[in-house]
This record gives sequence, structure tokens and C-alpha cells, in this order.
Amino acid sequence: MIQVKRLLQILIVLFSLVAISGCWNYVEVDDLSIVAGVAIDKNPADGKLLLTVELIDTKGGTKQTQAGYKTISLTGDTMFEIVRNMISMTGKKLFWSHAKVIIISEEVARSDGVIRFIDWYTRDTETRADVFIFVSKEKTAREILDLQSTMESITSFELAQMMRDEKYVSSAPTVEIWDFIDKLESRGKCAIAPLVYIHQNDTTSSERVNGTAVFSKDRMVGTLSEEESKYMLFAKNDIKGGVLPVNDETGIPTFSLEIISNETKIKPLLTNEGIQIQINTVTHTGLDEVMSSNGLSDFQSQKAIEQRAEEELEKNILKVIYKVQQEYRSDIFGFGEIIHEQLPKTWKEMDDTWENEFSKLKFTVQSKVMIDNSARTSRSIRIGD
Amino acid sequence: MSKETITGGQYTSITIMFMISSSLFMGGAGLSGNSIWVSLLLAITMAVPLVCIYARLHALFPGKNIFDMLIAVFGKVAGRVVACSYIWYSLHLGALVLRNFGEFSKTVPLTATPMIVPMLCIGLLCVWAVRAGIEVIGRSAKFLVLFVLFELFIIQIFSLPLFEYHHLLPLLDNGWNAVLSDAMSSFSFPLAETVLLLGAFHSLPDRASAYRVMLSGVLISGGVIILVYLRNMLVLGPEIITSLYFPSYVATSRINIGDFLTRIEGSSAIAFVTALVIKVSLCLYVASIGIAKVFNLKSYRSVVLQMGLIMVYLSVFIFKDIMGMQYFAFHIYKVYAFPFQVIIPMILWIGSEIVVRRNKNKTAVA
Repeated sequence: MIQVKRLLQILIVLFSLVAISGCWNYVEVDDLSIVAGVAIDKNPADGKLLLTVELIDTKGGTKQTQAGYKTISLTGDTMFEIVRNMISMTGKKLFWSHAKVIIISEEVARSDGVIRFIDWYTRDTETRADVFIFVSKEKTAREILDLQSTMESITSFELAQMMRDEKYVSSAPTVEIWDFIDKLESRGKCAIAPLVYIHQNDTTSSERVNGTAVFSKDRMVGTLSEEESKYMLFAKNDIKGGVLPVNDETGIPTFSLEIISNETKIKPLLTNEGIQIQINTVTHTGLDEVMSSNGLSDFQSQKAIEQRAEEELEKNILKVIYKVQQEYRSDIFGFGEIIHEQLPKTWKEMDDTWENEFSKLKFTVQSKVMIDNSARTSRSIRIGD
Repeated sequence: MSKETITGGQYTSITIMFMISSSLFMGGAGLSGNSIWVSLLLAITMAVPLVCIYARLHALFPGKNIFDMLIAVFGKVAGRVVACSYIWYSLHLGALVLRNFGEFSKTVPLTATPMIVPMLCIGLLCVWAVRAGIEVIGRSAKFLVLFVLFELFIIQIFSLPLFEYHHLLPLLDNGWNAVLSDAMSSFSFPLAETVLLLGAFHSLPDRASAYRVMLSGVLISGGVIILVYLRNMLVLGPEIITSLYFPSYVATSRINIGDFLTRIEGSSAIAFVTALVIKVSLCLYVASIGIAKVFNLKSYRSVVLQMGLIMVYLSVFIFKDIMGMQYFAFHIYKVYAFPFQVIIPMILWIGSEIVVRRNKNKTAVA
């Protein structure tokens, strides 16, 4: 009896050796094609979906320090169909967890809406919701992935790196796909995405992230330039850094203020003529550039610079808000959500017609710019005799 | 079988693990949107008197479990019939919880593995634990609850930078009706499920400690659930949450500490599985005890394996898919569970007050 028991125990141990040592569906890394980024276009020939993926070339010799890349494209009816059909081109299953970017062509974003393409991405379990979303300002999205990138060999990873450091530039919003969908679902808030261009250097070309694509519902309705994007970020309280150029008295750009921190407070007010949105910004900056010899002479001139910066900031924020309000009628600033939160009773009446109500809003902007330091030198460079 | 006893602290740990396990991952019904915490507070307030009734039952019948009480109050035949319904309820609840885990592993980490494999692994582990006895479950619960709470605490801290407090406004956006409906949901799942803990009451030694054990269990786990729901809501926003099967998993996946500590959702699932093992074990234990009582078996241990296997199979065919599971959990369950959680215990309580008094009078007369 004891021997039978012992035998059974040994058998169980042997069995678990086989059963526990490996995962159920274990896949070796070299059986996978690792996806770095994906571009979504419309095939001009038949109007079907054209998907381009950038794959990391894992071969790489001993001399090569960087991994190469490969792009492949395929057309089809649905995203997932194409993704699976791509196996017929790569021979390996695509691995999505390391994908960093999705680029949607402007044509697709304007005509078809993006819900059709991003649903698969958030639903499927192999993908992750923290990829960055872009809209291509070029004719197609795939030409961006086809570019030879400047710093890293893989364009998608370079784009992701740009997004991570976007906070020092503030010329485009940083949007991950979950954030994008969050805005699509929220009432009183519209989605935005950064634009990506091809920038021509003398002989080479590289990708450049710059400006904003404005969406209404899930369709793209317009764009904002680099400068407008910055002031849009001010209004959204999303600014983390960047440079604020300031003119001198005669209107020539002379000073650069580095934005250290910014806080924007938005308050809706009920007035007789409808809702007025009060925007207050408080910006701490450092004076980092004076492009003239008499621009910064004493304490008084610092006050004057601050004042000019404030006026310009107020003017520009209002300008971009009015542009979005009148031309695109899309509440990318989330004013609707703020009204919903702070004036819930008023919101109930305007929830269904928000697009209309949004175009009737009035705005006031109050900016405060403070120069906290002037970097290493206390005054402009003086020209001696 | 010698009498097994566990301490009050261990019993509280079982209560906490029992309640937080599936709500950690499933999230609640999302009618009330950003006011979910109000409905949870309401649900806890509703659960407190109910739990006091449960504890009172223990005081009336010290050293007895719910099956003994049913037989003592309703008589030998009727009591056994009602006891059978509780056996079914605990078996069913265990199967539901196992299925939650099965769907989770099928949807997120092990998409190509048949669902029964992970469920069977957990099921057999629970069979082992239950055969070892309530003392083993109690001791492991006490140790594991510290681990689970610690992990939740760490994740809570890591999520702090992701909190968007404006999601809390406006309060009661969807009105009181939605809040009350959600309160009922959270009351039946998971707070009032503690009725099954009555099935292991015979192992609680101290008469007076039942109140303390049950109340502290409900309050602590209620607090934990509120914190977890609030975290999910503040990280994800009330709109997104309604579309997700496993909101906690997604909320945790957003954590990114300096591009270094990312993708920790996989490890956070460990807390869920740990708590789940305790919950399934207790369900299985109660079901087996019930069988033993109804059929006058000498020991419940002889039916544990069979019940465990039935539970696993039941959990496989009980729902067609995850959509059905969610519909049942959020819409049907609160009605289905109401008799087990409230009506029968109430009748039992009233009946036992009468029975105990009568017995006392008898002894006084005699």
C-alpha cells in the first residue's frame, strides 16, 4: 500500500514536471513580428482599408547596434481581418504590445470617422491602450512610416519619443488612444490629435509633429497651427513647458520666456446673455533670451515685459477659442464638461444641443505672467564704446 | 471529527477576502456614474443591520451553523428543504466566482487556453484547502489578507498621479433612482453575500465576538471596495468604466511611474486570484457542510471532491459568454439572491427568537 502511494506521488511529480514547465501557448520571440507602429489609409483603387505596419527587424548582425525596420501594407475590409491576413506576408504572428503609434491619414479621419478603426485597437487583448495617436497631414499616413528617421532607426519609436518630450515644446497635444476615446465618449468635450508632417531638409526628409487636428464627434473637422496649438493648450490647462515669445515696444520679437509652470482656471458664469466662461491663467516663466542691448535695463522693464506678455497671451488665447468656436464648432476645450460639473442644472437644458450652445458662449481671458528669474545674467549685453 | 475552531481575527480575514474578491475586478453596475461611492455608502448602511441579524443568530445558537439553525427552527423536513436551497446557493455562488476568474483569464492573460484549465486548477486547490479544514482556510486567509490589502494600498498610491478629481462633480448627476438601484446591486453583490459565512459559524468559538467579527469584516471590506471603485472612477472617468468588463485591470494598466514602473496590471491580478481562492473555498466548504448535515453524514470531507468538481463543471456551462455573465451579475442576481440574503435569514431570525425563548421557558418551568 505504501509503495503504491509512493509510486503515485512520484507519478504526480513527473506529470507536473511536464505540465508546469511551460506555458500553455508559449511562443518564442523569433516566431513573432514585433509591431512598432501602424498607419491607416484608404486604398485609392478600391476604397478599402489600407493598413501599413512598421515591423522591427530583429535579425540584425553583430556589427549593427540598432535594429532595422520593415514596413508592409495590405488592404482589406476590417482592421482585424487585415491584421490576421498579414501573417500571409510575414509568416509570423504580429505582436502588438510594443506598438507605440497609430497614424491616421487626414482623408480617412475627415470622411470616415475614426471609431471604425480604433475600436479594434481598444477591444483586442493583444494591443495596449497607451499608444499615441496621430493624424497625418501628408497625402497618406503610410509615407510617414516609410521615412528614414533621423535619430532612431524606427520611425514609430522616434515619434513616441517626440511625444514624451513634447512638454518642452507645447506645439501639439499629446494624445494616447485611451485619452482620445475618453474624449469621444464624454459629453461636452471633443477630441484632438497631433498632426504629423514630412519635413524637407536639404537632401533628406524627416517626420515632424506640429499642430493639432480638431475633431467633432469622431470626424476631423479642421486643424490648428503650431502657434494656435500652444494657446489652445493654455486654454485647456495642458501646458507644461515651451517658450513664450514677447515683442518689444515696437513689435519686434525680442524676448523669450521659458514657461516653468502654468495654471489655468476656468469658471462658467450665468449672465443675462447666456453663459460666460472666465478663463484665468497664471504662468510662471523665466526670461531666457533678450535679443537687444537695451531691452532689459532695470526692474521697470521687467514689469513692462510681463505686461506685454500678458496682453499677447490674452489676445492669442481668445483668438484660438473664437476660431475653434466659429469655424469648427467643436468643444475641444471641454467647456461643456466644466459647465456640466459646475452648473449641472443649466447643463441639463443644453445637453442635447450643446454644439449649438457652444457657438453662443462668451469668453473673457485674464492672464498673469510672472518672470521669476532672468537666468544667469541680470541685464542685456551692453555694447561698450 | 474533532471540533475545529478558528479565531475571530481569522474569521474577519475570511469575511474581508470573501467580499472584496470579485468586486475587485468586476466593478459595479454603472448606473449612478460618478456617484457610485454614495450608493456604496448606502449599501454598507443597509448591510450593517443585516449583518447584525446574522451575528444575533450566532448568539442565539452558539456553535451551530446555518443548517443546524434551519433544522432547529423549521423542523426536520422543512428545515432540510430550505437547507438544500442554501446548498444550491453556495454551490452556485462558488461557480459564479470561478466563472468570473475563468472569463478574466480567457479575456486578458490566457486568451488561447480553454477556460476550464485555470478554473480547474483553482477548483482543485480549493478542494485541497477545504479537505484540510476550516482552520487551514482561516490561517491562510489571515496571512493572505495582509498581502492583498498591502498590494491594494501600493496600487492606490501609484494611481494617485492619475486621479482626476473633477470626475467627482457634479454630485448625483444621474439622480437618486440610479444611486438607489446601484446601492441595491452592491448590497446583494458582494455585501450581503456574507450570509454564507453563517455556514461556517460553528467554528467561531466566542459567543460575543460574532458582532465584532462580522461588523469589522463588512466595514473594512466596504471601505476597501469604496476606495477601489473611487480609484477606477477617478482614473478612468465614469463614461469609460461602463464599457469595461474589468475596470480595475484597465485602471492599473494606466499606471506609469517614470516610464520605469509600467504594465503592472498582471501582478495586480494576483490580489484578485488570491482573494478568489478564499471565497471559492468558503463556498465549497459551506456546500459540503450542508450536504453532510442534510444527509447526516459523519464528516463533510467525503463529499468535498465531488462538490468541487460539480462546482467547476457548473461554472463552465452556467453562462454562454461573458456578456451573459455580466447581464446576470448586474441585473438578475440582485433579485435572485434576495431571498437567500434577506428573506430567509429574517424568517429564521424571528423563528429562532421564538424557539429559543420557548426552550428557555421550558427549562425554567422544568
